[in-house]
Parts: sequence; structure tokens; C-alpha cells
Amino acid sequence: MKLHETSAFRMALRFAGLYSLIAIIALSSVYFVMLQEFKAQVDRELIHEIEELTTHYNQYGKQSLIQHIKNRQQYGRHLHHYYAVADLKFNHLSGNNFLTTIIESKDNINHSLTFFDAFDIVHDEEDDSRLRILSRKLDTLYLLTVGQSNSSIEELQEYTLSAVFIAVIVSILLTLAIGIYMSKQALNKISRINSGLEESINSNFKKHLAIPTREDEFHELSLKLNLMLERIESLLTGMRQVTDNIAHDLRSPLTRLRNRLEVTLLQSRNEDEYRHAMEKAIDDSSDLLKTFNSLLSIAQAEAGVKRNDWIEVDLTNLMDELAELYQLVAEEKKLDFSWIKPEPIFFKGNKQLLAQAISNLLENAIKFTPSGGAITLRAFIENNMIFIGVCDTGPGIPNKDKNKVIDRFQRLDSARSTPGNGLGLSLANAVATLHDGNLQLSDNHPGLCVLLCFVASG
Amino acid sequence: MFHKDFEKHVKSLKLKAKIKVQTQQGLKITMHILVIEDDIEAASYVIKGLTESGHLVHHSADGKTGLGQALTADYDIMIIDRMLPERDGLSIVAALRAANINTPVLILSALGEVDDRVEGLKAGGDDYLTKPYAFSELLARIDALSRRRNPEQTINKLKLADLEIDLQKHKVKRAGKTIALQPREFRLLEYLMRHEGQVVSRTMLLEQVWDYNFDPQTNVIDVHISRLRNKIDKGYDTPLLHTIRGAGYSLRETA
Repeated sequence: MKLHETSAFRMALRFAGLYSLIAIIALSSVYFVMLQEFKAQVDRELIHEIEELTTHYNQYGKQSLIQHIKNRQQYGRHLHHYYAVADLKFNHLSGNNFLTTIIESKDNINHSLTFFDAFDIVHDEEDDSRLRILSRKLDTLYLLTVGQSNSSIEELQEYTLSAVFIAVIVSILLTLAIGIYMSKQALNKISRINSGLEESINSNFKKHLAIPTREDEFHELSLKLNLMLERIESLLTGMRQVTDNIAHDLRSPLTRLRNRLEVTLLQSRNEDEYRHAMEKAIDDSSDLLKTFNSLLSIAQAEAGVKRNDWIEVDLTNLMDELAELYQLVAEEKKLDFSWIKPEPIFFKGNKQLLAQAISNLLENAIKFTPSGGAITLRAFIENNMIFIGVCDTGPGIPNKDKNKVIDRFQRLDSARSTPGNGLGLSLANAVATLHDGNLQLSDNHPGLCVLLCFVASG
Repeated sequence: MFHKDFEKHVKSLKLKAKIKVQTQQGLKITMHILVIEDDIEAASYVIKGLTESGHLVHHSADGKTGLGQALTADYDIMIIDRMLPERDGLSIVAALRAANINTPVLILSALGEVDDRVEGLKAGGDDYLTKPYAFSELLARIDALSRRRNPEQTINKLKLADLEIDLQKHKVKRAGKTIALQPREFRLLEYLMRHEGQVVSRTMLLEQVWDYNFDPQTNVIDVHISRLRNKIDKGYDTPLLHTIRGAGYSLRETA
């Protein structure tokens, strides 16, 4: 991937733009404040000068003022000052001649001078520079003007402007450089993850990502991605297993069904024989339908995305109903059925699936426990966990097979002779997983205890 | 090869349908049924089966013409597939309900999820059947729906031969003798009485009487039925509660 296509680079660019904008605003504020201050300083100096000259005039009169101005123009401290004294008809009396000429041409100055002192900025054609001037009327007889060159301010203005310009350029370049550096850093990590993912995909999700040692967000991302890859891998494996199992376990009943029908058609038979064969075929296909429906239920529970129809389920009440439903079946088989009913337990979930999971456990217990045995259904809360248990006194499951029986279509050899499709525990397990719980198998000495465990909600 | 299989299937359906007509003699009501299903093969099985069970069947292969037909003709029952070309099944049901046509609708679906079922019933469907299903199941559900069309009047008593139940007092009598039933047994009997003469499947019973919509793997319903049979039929000359092989149960006077 090219550097300029990365989002980090684009972000650096945006950041540089934003930063320059901030720099321009900040520096130009400084610039304007400084400019104002310098102008004010010039004006203060001019006022000071004109006050001093006015005082002089008031004390010693016109001739002395003219002399005083001449003196001043020869001393270093006032060299950057300009002076002009004229009468009201703009006849130049002393100081810089051009100032009088300028003032004569300025109507606005003359107008306001009737009442006030007048500031203005004028152009000095000799020096080709700009002057800040202050004029005042003395005793309504004379016009006194003091001026100071504006060039120092203008120079400052220029310097500051170029300083601001340079600062902005430098900051843009710097932020860009930093941005590019950072995006390169990020890009390296991303491309490591990218190539790792590619390897994983090519290896059918068997290979996983190398986890960066530093615990940053890339570490976190890699961990999460690995979890995802593992999940994909296990789903793929699961799917393959299921396909194999379906092929294996559905082929024999389908073959049986087909053969039965073919053999029936081999020769002509009487109606009773046909009917018998048909009825058998219907039974076979009913079993197949049941198997399919169980598979669908498991698939639904495992997909487990739609949680919007979950409701607060009264588990105690649900189990009460299931106990009532299955008690008769247990009694029919001469099993001692007990239901240890707790206080109401509420749990948010899919009622139909929970009911089906519990009924699968009950059906298993009834199926595998020989007559004369006992089955216990109970529910309890312990350490904020909800336990739903079905215990029997049947043959139990050897420890080594406990994990195996949860797999789809997995039937222990001892169970081959009983009816069933080997999906009961898979479904219970899928339902438990869907509700963030799990399925535990333990020994009942003798017999089997199956526990559905959920985290108590609320 | 394919045709052979197909013919075989149709034959088996014919045979089964004949059995049904025979066993349900006297109770058979001809219904006018609309089937909207785009899978022609699946539709032909259903149409054959329904026709041979004595019903009058029309078929549409897509949602648009299906809706048109449903709007113009008067049907007793409609069987509508969920996924159809042109217009999906649920929207047809919604359109019908909006047009104030309250014909019972059975929705067929290949999506086997519980919440889809809920969705289907919410959209205005009266029953929901997931593929793959058994034809006997479809037939039983259609019968149940047709009965539903005659609104359940607020009746207090249901009677069949000498069996009588009082819905308000929760009392059951046969030949004048009171029979004590558990609450669930009473609901089971009430459902069977309300669908007197019809075949009800085990799945329907589990749905309607126990409110669970899954297939039990064991004979749990049979056990409850046999317990009920012991109470209402044992010791009487005419059994009323019959097992229909491969389909379910039926409560009726004649065998």
C-alpha cells in the first residue's frame, strides 16, 4: 500500500492543515496587538512632544519656539522628529517646509483643527516614507505640527509578517513529517497484521497471527483477530464434521427407505402388503424429518444472533410444566421421578429453546435409565449461577466420552440399540452456549448428572 | 428416473389420501383452497394430496398473481409459501388483512427459526409450518384452521356422543358419570373436542395444549393421550379417542 493512500497519512495531512490554521490565527493576533502597541507608542511620543512645545510657546512666545525647534532638529534625540510652524494662512514660519505644504492640502485636518488636535498619516515625498503627524493650533494664530517617521513600524510590520509566514511553513512541514513518520509506524504494524491474515486465509485459518509484544491497541487487535480466526476455524471444522455426520447418519435411513419401496414394487402384492410397506416408509421418513428439525433447531441456537425475542422466562414455572409433561413418561417406564422445585427463578432467554434443551435432557434420562431407577430434576442458584440439573441412575457416561457425546450425531456404542438421533445433547449444549452458559456432565454414582449452567441475569 | 420417483410419490399420496377419505367418511367437508407456492414440484404434491382428500385447489406460482387470486376469489383456506418471486408471502398476508380478508392462512417456510414463526404469526398468518413437513401434518393443520373459521362461540358445553364437558365448571361427564381430570388433561380433551372428527398431530397438541413448538423425540404425547384414554374410554363400549397411524389422534364416534 502506498503511503499517501493510508488513512494515517491523510490524518497527518488534516492535522497539519488544522495546526497551520491555529498557528496563523495565534501569530496574527500577536502581530496585530504588537502593531497597535507600536502605533500607540508613536502617538504618545508625538503628544509628549507637542505638549512640551506648547508649554514652551506659552512661556516664551513664537520667536523662542522657532528657535527651540531649530535647536531640537540639530540634536540627536529628536533627529527622527519633524516639525513645522505656520500661520493660519499656511505661510511657513519654521521647521520642515514640506509639512506645511502637506497640511495645507489636507482639508480634514484644517476642519477638525478648529476644536481639536489632529492626527494623520502623510506621505513624505522627499524620503518616500510615511509620517505620523500631530497638529495643534496655538492661540488661534499659529499651526504647530510634529511628525515622526512611520518607517520603524513598517519595518517591524514586514519582519513580523515574514516571521509569521516562516513559522507557519515550518510548522506545516514539521507536522507533516511527524504525521508521515507516525503513519509509517502504524502502517508497518498494519501490514504485519495484513500479511498475517493473508497467511491465515491461505492456510484455511489454521495459522494465526503473531501477537506484538508491546501491549497497545495493535496487541489488542491481534488478540481479537486471533479469537475470530480460531472461531472461524472451529466453525469450519464443525461444519465439515456435521456434513460428514449428516452424510453418514442420514444415508442409512434414506437407503432403508428407498430399498423398502423398491423391494415392495418388485412383484405385485395385495393391498394390505402395500399399505404395510407404505406405513413403514412413512415412519422412516418421519424419523428423517425429526432429525432434520433437530438439526435446524441446533443451527438456530448456534447462529444465535436474534436476541430481540428474548423474554424474562420463569424457569421454575417452565420446569414445572416440563416436569408435568415428562412425569407420566417416567412413571410409564417405572422410574421414580422427582422434581425439586425452587423459588421462582427468572432468566432472560428464548423460552422455546430453553424448554427444548431441558426436555432433551429429560428424554435422555428417561431413555437410558432402566426401569426401577430414579430421575431427579432440579434447579438452584449458587454463586450467582443458575443450575438446571437432570440426574439419573442409568449407566452413566465414562469420563473419556463425556466431551464426545456433545458432538452432533455422536452416540455411544451402548446407545446404538435405543431410538434417537444423537442430537439431544448437541442441542442442549448449543442452547446453553447461546445463553452464555455451558453444559456440564458429571457422575451421579451411579448414573449421570447433566447440568445446564447460566449466569443469573440481573 | 425422476419421473418414476415422482409417480411413486404421487401414488403414495393418493393411497394415503384414500385412507383418509375412508376414515373420515361422513365428516368430510370440501374446502376451496388456494396454494401459493413457487416450487412447482412441491406444489404438485400438495395439490394432488389436497385434491384427493376431497378439496378444491387453486394454485399460483408467484406472489403477484397469488395475491390477485386471493383478492378476487373466495377461499376457505390459503396456503402461502414465505419466499416467493415478485412478492413475499408475509406481505401477501399483510395485504389481505389490510383488505379485510380474514381467510385463514397457513404459512409455509423453509426458515426454521422460532422467531420467524413469531414474525409469520404477527404478520397475520394463522398457522406456520416449517419445511420439511409431513403431508399428514399439513392436512391436519388445514382441518384445524377450517374449524377455526367458524368463530368459537362462547359456548359453555361441548358434547360428543355421551361425553360431555363443561368449559366453565371444568367438569367432564361420560354417560352421566363424572370423570376427574387434571387441568392439563382437561385442556387436552377440550382441544380434541373442539376439533372433533379431525385428525390432530402430536406436534399440534404440543403446540396448542402445552405451548411448545418443538418435536418431542420420545412418545411423550402418546403417554398423555393414553392416560386420557384410560379415563374417558376405559369401561365404555364405544371408544372415542382414536389413534390415526402416521398422523396423530382423532376424537370421534365412528372408528
